[in-house]
Amino acid sequence: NQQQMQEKSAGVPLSDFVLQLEDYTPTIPDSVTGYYLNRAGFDSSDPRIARLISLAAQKFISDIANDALQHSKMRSSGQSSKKQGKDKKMTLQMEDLTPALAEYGINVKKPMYFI
Amino acid sequence: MTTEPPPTPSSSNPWRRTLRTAVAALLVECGYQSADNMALETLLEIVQAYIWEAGRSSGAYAELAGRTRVMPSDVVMSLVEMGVDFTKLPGHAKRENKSLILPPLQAPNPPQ
Repeated sequence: NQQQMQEKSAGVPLSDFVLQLEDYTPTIPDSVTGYYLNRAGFDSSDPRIARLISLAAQKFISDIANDALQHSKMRSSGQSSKKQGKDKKMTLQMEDLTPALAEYGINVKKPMYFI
Repeated sequence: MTTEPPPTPSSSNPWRRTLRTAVAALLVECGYQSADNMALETLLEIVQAYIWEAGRSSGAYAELAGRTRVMPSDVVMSLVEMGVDFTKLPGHAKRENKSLILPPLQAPNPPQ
């Protein structure tokens, strides 16, 4: 019964997770995140803090990229399947990224003067 | 990952360039082979703003609690407020195809 309680509450695994960050290297390097955090007036003496923010930012970008990939797959499935087999190289394009970002509340508009 | 050459001379900010590499690596992990320059730069601006906002918000939580030093709990609070689902974060951290980026090296200051 107690195990069920622990599974339900997010607090216990979260503290474990923060402790595990002690020896973890995220894709976005610590020093890069630290640089941007310093620009926000943030003193990060604890490396776990930068790693936690790096991970959250990575997850955000990965989720957006996955959504954009689904958009491009849906778009290409509407076209002829012959071309799809040939053109296997996936390129991230603005026309896929814009609807993916819109789902996250980010509206991207190309400036009128931008060619 | 191949991208078209940037229209403007590449940023002189080494952290921004490293972050660009990291975003490109994340795109490769998702299954992309290339990216338009504009799409990559858009994601880069978003991740910069994301880190900045997480830092600002965490600092504000620490100050609200009467502290100057930020604690992990402040970061957790601000990330939850930004809509991060913490139950999915360990799965992302332990993903199979994680790629690592070398951080920019700090050059020693030239002797005065």
